[in-house]
Amino acid sequence: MSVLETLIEYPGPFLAWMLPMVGAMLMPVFGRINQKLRDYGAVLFAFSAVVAAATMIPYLFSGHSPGDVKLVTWLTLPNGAPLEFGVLVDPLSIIICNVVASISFLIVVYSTSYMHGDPGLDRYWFLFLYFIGNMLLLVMADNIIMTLIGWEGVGICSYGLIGYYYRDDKERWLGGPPPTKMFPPSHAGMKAFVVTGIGDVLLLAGVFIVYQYAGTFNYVELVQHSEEWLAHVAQVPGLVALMAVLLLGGPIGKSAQFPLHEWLPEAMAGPTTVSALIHAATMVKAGVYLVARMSPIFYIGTWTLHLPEAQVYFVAIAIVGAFTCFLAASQALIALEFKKILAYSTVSQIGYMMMGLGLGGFSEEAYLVGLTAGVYHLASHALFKASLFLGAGAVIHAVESIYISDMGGLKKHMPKTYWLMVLATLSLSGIPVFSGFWSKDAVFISALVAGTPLAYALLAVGVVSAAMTFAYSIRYINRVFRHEESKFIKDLEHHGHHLHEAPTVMWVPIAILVAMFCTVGLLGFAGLFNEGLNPEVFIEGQMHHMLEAILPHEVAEHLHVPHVGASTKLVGVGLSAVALALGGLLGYNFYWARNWDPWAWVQASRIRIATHTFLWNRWYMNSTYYVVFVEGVLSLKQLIYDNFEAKALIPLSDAVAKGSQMLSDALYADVEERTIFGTINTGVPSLVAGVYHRVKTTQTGLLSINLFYMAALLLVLIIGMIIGGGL
Amino acid sequence: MLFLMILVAFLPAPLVYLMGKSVGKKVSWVVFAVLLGITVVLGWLIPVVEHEVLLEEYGWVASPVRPTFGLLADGLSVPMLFTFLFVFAGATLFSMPYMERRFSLGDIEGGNDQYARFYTLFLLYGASVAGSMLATNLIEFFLFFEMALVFSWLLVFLYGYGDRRRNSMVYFIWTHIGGGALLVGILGAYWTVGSFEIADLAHIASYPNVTWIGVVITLGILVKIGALGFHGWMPGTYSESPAPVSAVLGATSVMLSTYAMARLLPPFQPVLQGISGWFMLWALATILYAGVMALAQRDTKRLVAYLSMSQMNYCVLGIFTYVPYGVLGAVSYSISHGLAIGLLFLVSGALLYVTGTRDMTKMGGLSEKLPITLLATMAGFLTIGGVPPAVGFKSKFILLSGAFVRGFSTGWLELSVAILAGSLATLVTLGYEFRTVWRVYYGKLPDALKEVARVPGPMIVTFVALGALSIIFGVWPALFTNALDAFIEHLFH
Repeated sequence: MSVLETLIEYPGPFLAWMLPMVGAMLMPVFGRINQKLRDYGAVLFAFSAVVAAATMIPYLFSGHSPGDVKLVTWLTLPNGAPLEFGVLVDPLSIIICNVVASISFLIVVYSTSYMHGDPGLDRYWFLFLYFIGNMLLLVMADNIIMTLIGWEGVGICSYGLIGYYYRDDKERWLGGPPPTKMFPPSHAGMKAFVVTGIGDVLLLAGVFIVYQYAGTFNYVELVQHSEEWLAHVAQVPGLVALMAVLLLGGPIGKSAQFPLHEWLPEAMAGPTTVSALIHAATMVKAGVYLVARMSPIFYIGTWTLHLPEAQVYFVAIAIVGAFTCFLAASQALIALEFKKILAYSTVSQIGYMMMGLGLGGFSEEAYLVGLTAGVYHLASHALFKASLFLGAGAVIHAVESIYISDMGGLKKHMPKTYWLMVLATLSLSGIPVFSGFWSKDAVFISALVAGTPLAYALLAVGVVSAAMTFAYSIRYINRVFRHEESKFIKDLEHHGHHLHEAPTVMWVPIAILVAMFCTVGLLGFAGLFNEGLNPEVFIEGQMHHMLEAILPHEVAEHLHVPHVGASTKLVGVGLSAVALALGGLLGYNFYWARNWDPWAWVQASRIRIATHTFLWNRWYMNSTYYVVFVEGVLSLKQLIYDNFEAKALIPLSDAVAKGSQMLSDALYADVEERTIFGTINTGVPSLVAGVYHRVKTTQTGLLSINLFYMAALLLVLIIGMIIGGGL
Repeated sequence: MLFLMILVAFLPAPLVYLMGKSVGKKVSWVVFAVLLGITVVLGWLIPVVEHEVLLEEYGWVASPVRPTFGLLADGLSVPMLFTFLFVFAGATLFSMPYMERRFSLGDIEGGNDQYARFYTLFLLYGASVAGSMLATNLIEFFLFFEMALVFSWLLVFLYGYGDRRRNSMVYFIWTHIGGGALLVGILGAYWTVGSFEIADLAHIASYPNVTWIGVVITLGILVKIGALGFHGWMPGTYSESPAPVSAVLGATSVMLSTYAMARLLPPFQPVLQGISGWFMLWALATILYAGVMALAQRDTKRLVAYLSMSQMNYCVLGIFTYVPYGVLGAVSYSISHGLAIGLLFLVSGALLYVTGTRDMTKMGGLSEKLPITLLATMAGFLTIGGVPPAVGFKSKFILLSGAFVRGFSTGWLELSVAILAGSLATLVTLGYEFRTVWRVYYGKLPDALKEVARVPGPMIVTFVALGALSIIFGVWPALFTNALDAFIEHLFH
């Protein structure tokens, strides 16, 4: 098929990412013409991505997706094979593409009000639409290289948007409150790019290993032929494990998992819309997507080839996910910046997704369950976390402070925002029957299905983290909306500042998102009575279709479709209940009813104070990174520069030059002036000698070079060549 | 055709000089037109050399051994020369406002004469580099190479800043140490093979005792490319030259050196294969060392000089992988790097032009005043950092995959070099790039820069053109890689 025919037959998967990119390029142009045109244009282009993505939904219900659609050869690979530019249309990409496109569109609508009047909107819309295009490219690409292009593209947009307030006005700084160190937005953007860059280079190294053995970058070919090439990799001891860990590096960086998680809290320096879209709903999920996308390779390695090393992929990401989940939840418990709480909460929730995907590799039965849990939680979290961020944006917009200690009592001023955020928070906390309950439950169940001691240990971490999640949720809802007004707010009101509800354009998109996840939750409930309605069953079916299409025939035939028994489900629900009871008990007493004073409780014992200090300093991870990787390198470079480069190497090269110069000066004095050259220079107006002399004198500083002679000399030479050629 | 091209490059030189004497600054348009014209022709040739090689030979007048004067346009020389002259034409356009400011400083005498001299030399320099990239025999190559050195030295000496006498002297002598080594190698090759024709080098490795020739030629080129230890001349020369000169010097360093390596060194593969891993390691050491040095700079142009030194050595690394994809990567990367480094030197020139300083600690918050300059900086940095959609992504990717292919096939040394070049070196690059953008463009605008002037039109046009070419090549690499593929296929056949 020609390029055009392919585009006509499969418009959706291509237009979904191409149109936002085109829109991005047009934004600065539109901005020059008319600002309204630009803003509505952005909405229109974001909507076009929704439409394009939606055209793929029928594939989900028909059960037959087109799979790999190749468009055109992009370049030739080292082994002579072409690298074809194409899209992989299967349930995994279709689901994520639709989640991304629809949330992006709602946030674009919200932005038209939230960002209204900002002087840098050309830049904002350019980066925003370019982000959407790259994110969708990343998801739709049929090979790792195109994914990496989208991957880096979203990274660049994220950098630009975190540092959006590049003037670094004091009120835009975050961190603190003093004496805790604060950082300007531009610093935060740079930090995000460099920290995720660490993951990216690891990923790239892993990709090179894959290519070395597989000879292709195409996902379908990689999975289809994985039995052969993985067997080759396995001949080098440790290489499969190394490859697995390297490939996980990129996702760990992008999805802000331990140990590369420290960039996300600072990424909140950008506009809240950016935090909602990029740093909660979409870009940080790119890692989860990639882990899911590559997992069939390691599934085959573990269960068909029986390589213990291949399982490292699953075990490593499950452990990283579970630990990050706990680590970040502990940070969300004590953070004072509203968006930072939500950021840590995002990191923690992504930990659940990673954990789900990882647990899928613990046993053959668990694969489909784990994969489903990861994708389900991804979609459900995207919806409720975007709502939470947009709500937080409305609050910060109204109060003009980032600290929850400056808020309080906002319920009466912003009732709509309050109720929408309460619903989203209930989903985050995993309260039945909200979507977060079902998707988190799916993660717990995948651990139960996996059934190994390590899986149970990780499950325990997950349950404790769920309790912490409920506790910090109660904390921020109460401190922002329910407790008495802070001094800061009283001062604001005293100065005539009127706290206002979010405008319609802002709260309606939140309401739509809330309606979406509530629907998912209710469908989950309805699924108890009619399995066909259960979103989890739907996603599981889709993942099954996806695997059937991509796995080699003989592996797909033996793909285990587990039947999760009622008792397992009951244990899962029971664990959720335990977590909620524990978290609720603490949250209720500390923050809702305020029977206990949290600060007094901390001060009561030395261990508690130490723990609080430890948590407040972010487990000392951030500061350690700064000391080692930033200050360390910066002082090292100065040390080398001052003591080695400037004192030794440069003077050395100068000395060599100086020595030669002295030698030539001596020669000049002896030879040039006293011999025949001197005669020629003064006596004979010879062209050659004249140039020679003048070049020489230039070097001694007598500036009288006559270039005309030199050019003429060259001309003579060239004409000579022509004549010589003719002879 | 090729001959005509060389002729068109050299012939206007006297004319430029004479015209410059009377019309002054306006003569730059002649130089610009000449360079642009040749660039367009070369652009048109790129698809041609995908399928055929253009070779022209002329007798060499009055020579006892009668080597031919030949010109060769193939998949290697045409895309490289196209990009080089594109940068050169851009630098000419940029130089129009820039050199006017330079001459107004008062340390260089003469009105129109200065323009006449500067543009004559500038054109001759570009023409010489073009000549050496098209040469078919080593004498011819060396002659043009040497001419390029002399003209560039004059440009540094006559129009540099600061202690230009010292800087140009260091430049002249060091490049001649390199040139001398190259000459020794060339003579050695002639002594062995009995011919100066580059094509006759193809089987040099079948002769005894030729390892030293390969090593000497390599060392000569490593001086030019600023390998660690040989680089002392580089920061001073680059930073103290006027920006258009720095830009073309930077582009020449990387492109002419890589061209020479890709042209001359592959025949030595059988004898150099054994030690090539150590050359890769040397290149990696330079990349890392210069990268860390770049972090230490406060001066924008010194920063670009170290950055250039660091990144150019990726090309050395690629060439010495001695696998097709590594060599292809090295050549592609030299094209991306030439483009980017030209752009970045010009950007630092524009910053000097509008702010009057090269000291980054005195800058900050310039993004609102100089948005297009910021975009140009980002385009240059993204190209160098290997971030899509800039062309650097693709070329660095090819280069690194070549290094990995080599690493997997030979051993731990090469593999560790490949891994470190892909990981640590990339991170250092991102580190100094983003730190620089942050220091120059973000944060508070200092009071001294509140009234900063606009960047003149010709500079903006140059930025847009160079940045656009990087993106175009990046989105559609086949535009130039098909030609390179043809060369690589021929080379490794």
